[in-house]
Amino acid sequence: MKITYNKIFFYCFALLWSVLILCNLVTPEKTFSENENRLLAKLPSITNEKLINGEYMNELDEYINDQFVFRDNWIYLKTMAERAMLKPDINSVYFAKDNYLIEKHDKSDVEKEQAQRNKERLTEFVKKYVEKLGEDRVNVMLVPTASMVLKDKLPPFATGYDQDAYIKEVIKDLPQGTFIDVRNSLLQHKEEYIYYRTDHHWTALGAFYAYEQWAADAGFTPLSQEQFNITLASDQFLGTLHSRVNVKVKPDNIYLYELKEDRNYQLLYNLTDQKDTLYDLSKLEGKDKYSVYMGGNNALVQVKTNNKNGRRLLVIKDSYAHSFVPFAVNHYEETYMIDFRYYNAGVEAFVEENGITDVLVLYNTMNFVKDKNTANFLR
Amino acid sequence: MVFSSITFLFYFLPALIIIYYLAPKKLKNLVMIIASFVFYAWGEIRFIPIMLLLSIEDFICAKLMEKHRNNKNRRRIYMLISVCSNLGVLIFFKYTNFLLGNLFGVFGMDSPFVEIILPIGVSFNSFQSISYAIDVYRGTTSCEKKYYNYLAYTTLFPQIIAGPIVRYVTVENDLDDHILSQDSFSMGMRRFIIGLGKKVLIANNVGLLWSQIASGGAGDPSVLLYWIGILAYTFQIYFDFSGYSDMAIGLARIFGLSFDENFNYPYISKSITEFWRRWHITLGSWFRDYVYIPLGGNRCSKLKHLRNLFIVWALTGFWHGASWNFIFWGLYFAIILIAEKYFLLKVLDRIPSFFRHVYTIFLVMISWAIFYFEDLNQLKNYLMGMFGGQGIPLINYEALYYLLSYGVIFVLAAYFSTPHLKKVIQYTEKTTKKFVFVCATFAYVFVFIGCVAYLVDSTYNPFLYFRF
Repeated sequence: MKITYNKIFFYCFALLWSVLILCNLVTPEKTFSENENRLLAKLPSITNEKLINGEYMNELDEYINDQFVFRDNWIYLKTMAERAMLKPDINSVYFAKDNYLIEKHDKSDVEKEQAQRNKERLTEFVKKYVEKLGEDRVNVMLVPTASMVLKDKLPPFATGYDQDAYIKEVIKDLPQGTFIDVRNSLLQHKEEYIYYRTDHHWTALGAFYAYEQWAADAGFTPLSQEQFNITLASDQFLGTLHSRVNVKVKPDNIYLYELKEDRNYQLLYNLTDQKDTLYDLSKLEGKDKYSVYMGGNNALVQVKTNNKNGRRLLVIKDSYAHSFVPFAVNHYEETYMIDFRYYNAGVEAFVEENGITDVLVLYNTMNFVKDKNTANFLR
Repeated sequence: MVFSSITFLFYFLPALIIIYYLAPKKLKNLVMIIASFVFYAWGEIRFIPIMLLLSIEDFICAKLMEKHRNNKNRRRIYMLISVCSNLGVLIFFKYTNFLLGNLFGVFGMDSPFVEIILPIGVSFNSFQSISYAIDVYRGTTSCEKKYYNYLAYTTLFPQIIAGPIVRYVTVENDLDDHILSQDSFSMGMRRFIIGLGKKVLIANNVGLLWSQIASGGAGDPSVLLYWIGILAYTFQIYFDFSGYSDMAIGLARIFGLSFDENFNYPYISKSITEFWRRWHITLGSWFRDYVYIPLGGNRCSKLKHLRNLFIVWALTGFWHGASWNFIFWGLYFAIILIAEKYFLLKVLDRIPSFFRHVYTIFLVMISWAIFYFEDLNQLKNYLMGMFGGQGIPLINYEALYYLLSYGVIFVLAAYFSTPHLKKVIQYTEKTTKKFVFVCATFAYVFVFIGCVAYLVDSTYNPFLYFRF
């Protein structure tokens, strides 16, 4: 038998093709992709209407695509191909220096009107509560994300939304002394482990430096790192940025800060679930390990301490606050965290009902710029 | 359905190949017809009854033309019925809103918007049917005797969505006598993989960059950024469309049919005249044979010849989309082609070929900007930006960042736009050296695997030519 190009090609290709087809046919259906952290498409139901307008076929295509065999390996292969073609970012995540993955914030991600509106609402909110609670009782902290603080690690010519400029504008508009500017303290410590390498959050250490800055600005003595037992809770944390690019990277460490001196915490989640710790260790078992801090995203969390100084702090926040609040609670009798993404019952009534004495607004800058729930500030 | 989808690559195509190769000779066309309807229905089930009716009518008209071949008037009537119904369907589905809008616009009124969905591939399908009617009328083609052969031809799934425009004569003999072998499968599949790679690995990638820049999502503009954008689009449109043609030609081959080539490395042209001989060849020759020459072509007075050119190019542009910018795009080429014909070619002949390439690709890139922006204000802004209007900087970080990000793809795209690749492929097809074709086989397999990876990963997979 003479070996020809067509024969070789035929047998090689047919072999590869049939193996893939068969594997695909025999692999059972998956409902959830651990890697992408989402439900995969389900086999669509067929109706006349969906058949006529083509929706059925679209859903079927999506189903077939989602369920294709070796899905995670294909995605990995694609990422490798992109890396081989020297793409500095994939799915809006930079491959930065020192094994850092850093989220890319494009200018076009931000709606200018929304950013402006959010700034105005914040200003109005702060002015209103300064009048109510007193001048030094209201603070705002917008935390820059890693793409600003760790700028030196970004690939050449990387640009993006200018958080620095936005923060400057906010400072200009807010009543003097209300904005806690953590940019410098984070920049000073940029060589330390203040942002996760695989996640978009800051670390507890990053939050600690911000907490020191807050204390300095507000004029109280912060706890020092020596007063805490710092324990490594996990060295297997692969965060959201890792999920977006799905490459093999060194996992992150999660550290917990527990006061050496005995403190008694009573937590109440969404008015129903009681806990007595700031750290929900059960979250370390799952994928979303960052939720160990304050138990992750909740509409309303109340923390009572045995520090009976009569001060009650309200933190209006996003998930950046979860690393920060464990430090802050120690200075208040009660601390409340509300998250406008899940809580929309109005702030004014809440402040009155709970006898709030202090307010802190804490977001990462990008979340705040894009936030669509800021109308809640004025309700 | 699109070729570049998991559904097509791992369900539809393998199933069809097995059934088709196993089916007895007499049933092969039936298998093909059913497959074509499934393929088409995937994207557009509602148009199928109209397509069936049209095919019956075209088939009968052609038969009647043949029957009355000695009566020119009757023949002409049947030809006109067939041509007008196809044109009518095309105009109704594609141009109603454009025509209404402009008609009402003339009287300063707001046009009522009619909700009409453009069926996929109707522009290609109607042109194909028209060519059949006219060819039979002219007697250059004999009419098809069997309806299901004609139906198989007119619905042939490899070309039904985005061409090439296959004339009946091209496939006439293949429809009756399918030559299938390991060779036809291998050669067809190789061609298909080339097309798939062009579409998935290059066109989709640069397309992403272009959509970002065109929508203003790429950050602050600069002159360089605008040029990077239009370069990306220039590559996207070529690799998308010629990739599609490659896939169609390859698939046809797998099923024992041969289609005409549709592209011949257009971006290496040294003049626009040459460009249009290399770009979308089946469309160019359609307009030449069924519009330009019947109007008198160039064998008439100079004035009439100019008129003919303007008509043909305005129509060519208009065929690409129901919007003024497409007409301008056609006329833009008309003007350049006339200029080349009357004096520019003589000038071009005397300058070094490097400058002729630059001249051609420059004009082509400008043309793609006209082609893309349906909103003339956006077009004006983009063109101004390309030439440093509006006080934008020459270079900025965004531009350099994207240049670095897509540098490798740009280089690959530029290389694959030249016929050097064709030489390599021809060499591998002819050689008897085992080492060479083992390597080549692995290269194809590698490209195929890469495409699957991108397809699984990506939801960004629109075929540009879907609006035709």
